[in-house]
Amino acid sequence: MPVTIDKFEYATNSAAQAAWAEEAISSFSQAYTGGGNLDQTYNIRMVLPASAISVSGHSIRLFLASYTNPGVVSGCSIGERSGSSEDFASAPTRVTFDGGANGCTIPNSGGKYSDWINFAIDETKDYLVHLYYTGSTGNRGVAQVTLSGTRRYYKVGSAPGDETMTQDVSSYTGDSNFNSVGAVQIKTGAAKSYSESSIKQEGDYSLKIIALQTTSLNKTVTRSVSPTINLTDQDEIKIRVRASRTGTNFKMGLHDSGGTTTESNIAISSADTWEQKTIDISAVSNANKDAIDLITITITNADAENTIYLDELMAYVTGEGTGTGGGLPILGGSIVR
Amino acid sequence: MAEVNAIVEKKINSIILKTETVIRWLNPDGSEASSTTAIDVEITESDVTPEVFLELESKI
Repeated sequence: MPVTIDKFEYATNSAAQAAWAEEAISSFSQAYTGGGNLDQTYNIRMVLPASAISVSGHSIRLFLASYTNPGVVSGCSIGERSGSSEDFASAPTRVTFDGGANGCTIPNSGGKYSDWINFAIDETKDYLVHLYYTGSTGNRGVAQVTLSGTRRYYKVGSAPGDETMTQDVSSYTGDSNFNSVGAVQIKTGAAKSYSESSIKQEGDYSLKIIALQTTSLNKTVTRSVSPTINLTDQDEIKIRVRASRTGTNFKMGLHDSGGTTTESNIAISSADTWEQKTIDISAVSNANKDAIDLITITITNADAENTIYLDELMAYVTGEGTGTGGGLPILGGSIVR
Repeated sequence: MAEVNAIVEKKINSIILKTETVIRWLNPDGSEASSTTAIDVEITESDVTPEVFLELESKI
């Protein structure tokens, strides 16, 4: 029986991008070796200098590290720094957690990722991250390090209230310590998926991937598959593809939860024309394809921008499938090397 | 035919054997495909006799 892997029926761009996620680039990372417990409520602003931001992008998420106690954060924001001050250059953008909450509790081990936030970040500019630490005694754990090249500003006590979204602040103390922000991940848009309702082969939609010139090289668009897909006894995978560039410019990978990755180049014969490609997986043992948990499209050539469409990704036993028939056996001229 | 790449790493009190088996083939349209399986095996003194562990360690 054919196995449906993905028919790419994503009705909106957000649905397509949630399923087929573009690669997140780690732009800033800080390992904490110290910290403590804040004695009371704090508004804290950390400087993320341009020198610590390696790439520009359209979306970000923060990883908040903690120390020996949980840390209760009631507000978080990010914005461009105004000059060399503790003020935002314009109204900051709120950073949310757990699907839209203004605050979170950073666990005392493992840290906490924020939601992905639409925020245009420019690697040539300095930014501020504001954290409003509240919580009771024993719940104000904060990771801290003295970090060269950056700076924090803070205001002690609950009197000013939550200044997360306050552009210009006053009476903040500055020093060279740095708190809590353990990583900044950025989505660059170099290779990004979209829902496509016009150019399609089957059903109502296909998946469109736009891979930008140069910056998309080696970037991925990945679908995490849950529950996993079992391709036991399937011999070949067929996918309908169309691309604006001819040649071998991207590949598809299937990762089995046991650790095996099966990859295949996708060679486009004619530009802007639908083709059905067959990937022979008969050489892959059942144990290495019985729990597919990740499917990845990787851009392998970015000499020019490429617009790629994918539709009807299915697995078949040899001889099943549509028209073009089964794959060739891996014998003789069919090359195993 | 598979190619096997192996790396040996020495850690404190253990040795890690990293192997990567790669099978390559061509699809019906001539495009290249491969399947890569990585397996790491960690050997400690408790897995072998101390003498064998020392001998392994000395060869790294």
